[in-house]
Formats: sequence, C-alpha cells, structure tokens
Amino acid sequence: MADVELRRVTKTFGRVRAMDAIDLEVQKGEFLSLLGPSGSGKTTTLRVIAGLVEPAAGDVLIGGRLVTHLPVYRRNLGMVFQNYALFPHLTVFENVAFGLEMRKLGTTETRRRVEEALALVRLPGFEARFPHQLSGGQRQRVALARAIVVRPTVLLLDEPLGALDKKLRESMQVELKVLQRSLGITTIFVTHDQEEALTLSDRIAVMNDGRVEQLDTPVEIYERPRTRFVSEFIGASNFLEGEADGATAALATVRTAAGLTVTVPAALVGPVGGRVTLSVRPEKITLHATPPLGTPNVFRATVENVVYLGTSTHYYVRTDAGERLVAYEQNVTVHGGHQLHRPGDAVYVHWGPESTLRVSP
Amino acid sequence: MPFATGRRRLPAPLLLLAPIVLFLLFFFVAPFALNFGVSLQAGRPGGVVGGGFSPRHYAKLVTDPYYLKVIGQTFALGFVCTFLSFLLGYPCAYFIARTRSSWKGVMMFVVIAPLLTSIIMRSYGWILILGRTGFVNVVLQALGLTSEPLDLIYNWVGVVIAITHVLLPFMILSVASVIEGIHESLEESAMILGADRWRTFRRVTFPLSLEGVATGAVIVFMLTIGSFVTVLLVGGEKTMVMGVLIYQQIAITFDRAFASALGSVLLLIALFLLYLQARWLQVRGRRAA
Amino acid sequence: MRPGWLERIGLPVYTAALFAFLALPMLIVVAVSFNAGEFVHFPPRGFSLRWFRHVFEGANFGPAILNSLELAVLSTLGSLLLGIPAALALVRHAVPFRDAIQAFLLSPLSLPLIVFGVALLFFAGAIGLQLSFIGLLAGHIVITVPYVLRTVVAVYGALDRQLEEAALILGADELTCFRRITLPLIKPGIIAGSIFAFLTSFDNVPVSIFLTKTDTMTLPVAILSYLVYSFDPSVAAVSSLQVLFAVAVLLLLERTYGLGQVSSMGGQ
Repeated sequence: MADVELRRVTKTFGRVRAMDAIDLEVQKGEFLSLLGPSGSGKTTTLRVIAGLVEPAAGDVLIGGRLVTHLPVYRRNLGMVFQNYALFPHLTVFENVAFGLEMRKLGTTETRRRVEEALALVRLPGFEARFPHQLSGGQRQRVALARAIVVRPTVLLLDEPLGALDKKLRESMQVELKVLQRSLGITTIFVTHDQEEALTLSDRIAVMNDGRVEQLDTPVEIYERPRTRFVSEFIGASNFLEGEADGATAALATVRTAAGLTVTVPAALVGPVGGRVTLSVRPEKITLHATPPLGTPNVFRATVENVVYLGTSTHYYVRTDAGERLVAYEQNVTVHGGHQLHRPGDAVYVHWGPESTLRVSP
Repeated sequence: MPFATGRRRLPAPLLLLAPIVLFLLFFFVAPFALNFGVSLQAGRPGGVVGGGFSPRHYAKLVTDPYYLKVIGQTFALGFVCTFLSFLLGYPCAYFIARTRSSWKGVMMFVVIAPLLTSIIMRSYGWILILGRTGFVNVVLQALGLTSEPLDLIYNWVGVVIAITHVLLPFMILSVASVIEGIHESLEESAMILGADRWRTFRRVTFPLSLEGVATGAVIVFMLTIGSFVTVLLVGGEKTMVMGVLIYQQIAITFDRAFASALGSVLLLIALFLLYLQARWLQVRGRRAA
Repeated sequence: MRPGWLERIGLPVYTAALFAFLALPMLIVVAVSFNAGEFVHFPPRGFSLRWFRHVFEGANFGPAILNSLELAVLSTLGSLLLGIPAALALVRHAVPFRDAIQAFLLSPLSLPLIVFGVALLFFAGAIGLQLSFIGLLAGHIVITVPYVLRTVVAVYGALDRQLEEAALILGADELTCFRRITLPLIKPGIIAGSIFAFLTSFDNVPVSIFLTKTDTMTLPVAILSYLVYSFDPSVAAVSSLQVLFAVAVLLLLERTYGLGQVSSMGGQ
C-alpha cells in the first residue's frame, strides 16, 4: 500500500494550473523527489500533501486514509521549510519540543526525545541556544530535528538545502540520506537541483507545468528519459530530429534534416518516413583524431569551443553536415594544461547506437 | 500518535473585522452623517437644531466674503505649511535615510519624539519663544540686532512656524522611509554611467522619492487645514481658519447648524483629497506592475 | 565616488540644526517650568519646584490628570480589542475590498478631528448619551484604534507566514498557534500601537473639548481653560511632567524591546 497517494489532484491559482490532475504514489519508507523548474507545481504538490493548500479537485491519502479536507494540524507530518522557519522567540529545545508539546507528551519523555533528536542531527548540547545564534547549517539541522522528533508518518522537505553553500550542501545531502535510511520515514523532497535529486532519491518525479512527466528511479530517469523535457532537464542532451530511413533486424537508420545518417537500435523507430526525435548524452560521445573503423555513427566535425572543467573537458563541435553537438570527455590523459583538441581542429565524433535515446518531442 | 488538541479554529475573517467596522460605522460615520443632516436644517433661535430643510448655512458660507476669506486663508495656510515642511524636511529625510552612522536610530527617535509630546506643550513653547518677551526677541535685543521686539506671534508668522514645526516629522518620516527603499545600486548605476551626484539625485533619486513626498504632503495638508489647537493658541484675530471658526460657532455663537455646514465642507475636502491619493497610488501601482 | 562637501558637512549640519528646531519648544518649556518667579521670563530667573507643586494645589490639575489617564488606558484597551483581530484578518486572509476596508479603518488619522468632535457632540446628544463618559470614550477609541491597527498590520505583515505554517504542521491548532507563536512575535507592534494610542488619547483636544464636563474634564482641556486667564509656568510644569512620564515609559520599553523597533513603526 502506498504511504502517500494523490488521485487526480488539481489546483489552480487564478489562471495558473499549478497541479493538473496529478496522480502520485509514494511507497512506504521511500525517498521520493519532486524535481522540476520553478512554476512546475512541485511546491504546491508538497503543500497540498501537507494540508496548507486545499486542492480544487482530487483526493489525498496518507497511510491509506483520506485526508483531503483534514486540517493541517491533524495529519501527523513533519516538514522542513526552505528557510527553516525556526521560532525565533523559542530556544532550540523549545523549538524541537514544540510538536511533542502539542501532543501533550510528559516532561521527562519530551526531554528524552528532544535530546535523542538533537543527537541524531549531531547537535547535542545546543538546547539553550536561540535560532539567531546558530549558523545556517545548524538551523537546518534543528529544523530537521523538530520535524522528525514527532515520529511523523511522512517527512516533507521543501528545498531545505537551497540556502547552503556547495560544500555544506553536499555533506548535508549525505547526512540526510543516512538519517532517512536509518529512520525509514517516507520522505518527499522538493528540489530544482537535478544533481541533488539524483543523489538522494529512491525515485524521482520530474514535474513540468503542473504535470508529472516521468516517475522513475534515478538511473531510469537519466538513461531513459521519456520526454524531451525530462532529457533536457536532467543532464545535458544533444537532440537530433529526422525521419526513419530504413531498418534491419537489430538496427535502423534515421536521416536528419542536415543529411546526417544516424544508426540507432531498431526498437527505437517506427515505420519508414516517421518523424523521430533522438537524444544523445554528451558523455556518450567520444572524439577521435582519426576515424574509428568498423562502427557506425562516425561523423567528421570541427571543434568550435573548448571548456575545461577540471574532471572533464566539454567540446562544442559542428559536424560537416552542420549539426551542433556537445561532447564530454573525462580528462584521463590530460596532464599539465594541454588539451587533446583545440578550437579549429578537425575531429571525428562517435557514439554507439545503443547510446541513442528516443524522446517524445 | 493521537492528538490531544481539539479542532479549534480562529473565527472567520469577517467575524474578526465585524466589531471594529460596526464600531466605526456607528461612532464615526453616523455622527458625520448626522452632522451633514444638521447642516441642512434651518436652525431655531438659541442655536437649537431643527426647523426644516434649508440650505441657507451653505449659502451664507459661499456668499459672505468673510467666510470665503476664512476658507481661502485655511487653504493658503495648508499650501504654505506643506511647501515649507517639504523644503525643510526633505534634506533631513534624505540624510537620515542614507546615513550609515550608528546614530540612525537615535535620529529617527528625535524626529518622532515631538509627536509623543503634548501639542499644547509645543504650542505653548512657541508662545514662549516667539512672544514679545520671548526667547527670540530677548536674544535679538541682547545681541543688539533689533531695538524693538518683533511681532512674531498672534499672526501668520507664528502660526506658520508653529504648524510647520508640528507637522514636519510626518513629512520627514514619509520621505525617509521611501528613500530608504530606493536601492543604492540604482544611484551607483547612474554614477557609473557618468552622472555626477547632483544629476543622479535629480534624475534618479528625487523622482523615485516623489511617492514619499506626495504621501507626506497629503498628510501635512490635511492636518493643517483641520488644525485647531495650534491656531487657537498661537494665532490671533487676523488668523482665522476653519477649525477655529467651527469651534467658535459651537462654543461662543452657539450656531450649531452653521458649525455643521463648515465642518461638512471641511470634511468633504478632506475626503476628496484622500480619494485623489488613493487613485494616484492605484495608478502608480498599475504602472509598476 | 567621494561624497562632496554637501553630503559630508552641509547635510549633517543642516540636520542638526533642524533637530534643534524640532526640540526647541520642548526644551524651553521644560526650562521654564523650573522658573522661580511669578511670570514667564527669559532668561529664567532662579530655580524652583514651586510650579510643580502648584500643578496639584493651586492649579489643581490633579483630577484632570487622573481623568485623562483613565480615559487613555480604557481607550487603549478598547483599541486593542477591536484592532488586533482586525489586523489579523486583514493580513492573513483574502478579504474582499481589503485595501478599501483598511483605508476606511485608518481614516480617523487623516480626517479633521474638529469636525468629528462637533459631529460626535450632536450624535451623542441624539442617542441620549449627552456628555456622558461613554460618549467621550467612544470618541477616543475611534481616534486611537487606527494607531493599533497600523502598527499591528505592519508587524504581522512582515512576519514570515511559514512560522505559523510550521506550527500548524507540528500539530498546533489555529488558536494555539496564535497564542504560542503569533502573539509573542507581534508583541512589538502591539506595544508600539498602544503607546501611540495612549498618547493620542491623553493629548487629544478636538474630541474632548466638546464632550467633557466638569467631572470628566481631561488634562488638555483643563490646561486650555487655565490658559485663558492665567499664563503662569504651571502649564510648563505639567507639560514637563508629561514629558517625564513619556520618557519613563519609553525607557522601560527600550530596555525590553529596543528603540529601533518602535521608531521604525512610527513612520508607517
């Protein structure tokens, strides 16, 4: 049974459809990310689950129970906001104890649970401090402690790491994941950062314009994006549009407008003449000084731009046919600042047919 | 985990607003309506209200040159004091808004402090300062700058000074808060583009601060034309304004109906100004959006 | 770019001069209240506290002071009762015509109070209140409630909505959330509004002058009648006492809340 379920939930604000008949199922104990650009409806979805927003249509179920119109304070959830929303006039202890106080837990038990929670987020001894005395990272952890100390059915996180700098964010991501695994709480995480979603999630729901475009594991989302939006939003993509040309048992060819003949797995394309949108990830493309033999998808190109990124180098090339492609090469053999290829060089780009994806436009 | 707290919602917004709205409708709007009604009554001898419908009080108001003069004087005072408070207050407001000194809070307090003191005290203070044996005259004569005491009080000079003094903080606060909202990067961009400080002020800062000036001007103007205590204490026979006239009609002449007519005219003007201000803000809001 | 002489010297000097102008009348009055002589003199002759005594004995402002205090306290309480719920509603809920309603509720701040005083006099007579204390109190609440409304709206409007949302999610129902989270955090606004309300009522003339009678006479009205036939420094002395009182209250609040908060709310 799904721990959280949304059935055809719709919500409009004025003329904007924030949620368009969304169906969603979150499994018990899983870490699900709602990933999408701003305006995609991910925060609204989270707030509908929290009960802060009432849907115009549809049902919300938590733990199998219909909660669509149940008030916020009866849903037994935990939530961490983007700017933490710690009560400025209460100490850390009082903040974390607040939810327990609402549940009329005794003093001894409250104290025990608060200390336990603070230890879990690695802030023991901070009880007497006030929020304004804490750093950003510490506030974030107090907010987390406050949310989990009540043992919620579901933990909701609204871009909680957005305000932290890169290094801190990365270490918090690890801590968060470990904590979630050990506690086993069903967690829904909202973010616009695709790397974060890929790192943390058991599954990702990619959202756009109030709809879920794809709900899958990180690997599937990345390696097999179903729509153009998903393949564009997650990772980079090279897109090629063309017509199905011919096919054999295993392979088929697609002819682009510029005249490039791309070989792809036969399962990808339909009948000859049908329009196809293909996508190839940059890291799947390799550059060669001399054309590799005995393999399809080798095209001559000129290097237009080179961007050095430390771990990899990005090459912006233009094929003789006129198509523009990006290729990422790991800097395995690059030492001491010399690059494999320079702008103006003639190279041969290659990728295996199995690295090609088909996306709906 | 079961919840111990019950389902206790706060009352609906309409319920929260009802008491104050009803209270003001009854004790604020109704009296004004009644006042207007009284002004249209002919009035009986001895100042008693009643006597049937008659617009004669308004007729008296617009035909008698004395009353027209009083209305004119009231407005003139309004314009003069508004202009003065703008002239005197703007530089101060700019300074306070832009200062990085740690005394900024204290400065704000100095501006607000007069508002927390009694208006009678302030007017009385001006009498002590501007009177024939007051501070100014004593100092001027001691320094040998004048041989006779100057007439600075119980005339327009004293009234203008006293009213401007009372209302200056409103203008300063209004302008300062708007200027504080003008991000410094706007002025910095102008300067990088080649505008010197005066040009930057004239083309960037000042136009953006006009909203504060307008708000302050409306407040000062409206409070000036409604002014009563200050003019009563610091003014004289020559400085009759509508506020004092209304008071006289009630306390001395007992012509209640005429007092209502005067009051209704004053009220109408004030409402009209508020309406203009609201419309102006609406237009600005739409333009900014 | 280096600020020119205007900004570094001109403006500060001008501002200081303007501050002196703003403070001058109050300083003079306080100085005069210690005058030893019979009349008001410049420069003040001698130092004496006799006029402070005279305030309570000869001039007998004592009962008026008490009346004003009582009226101011009750008006402030009334304003809090009416104003705080209204502020909550206006800030957090999508009330239809919200801006118009708010402008209406704040209008006593701008409309000519002398007209209101006269109008209320007629109205009180018409509904049978005549010169009763209730009519006077009602009039005072009308003019003080906008101050409370204004500051509470400002503070509550600036309060992060998510704090209340967090409390709800943690299990606090709306009343508990208001009590434990909202109210403590809007306290500075309530305090500031109360101060302005109190002082406005205490100092009011246009409403009080028509609706008081001998036993409900307020201090400002008493002072005005006193000034008709006597110009001695007891007026200065009682004004100085008022200033002292205001300063004491403000110092107390500075200790608890910090002056910057109150100042920043006075401007709105």
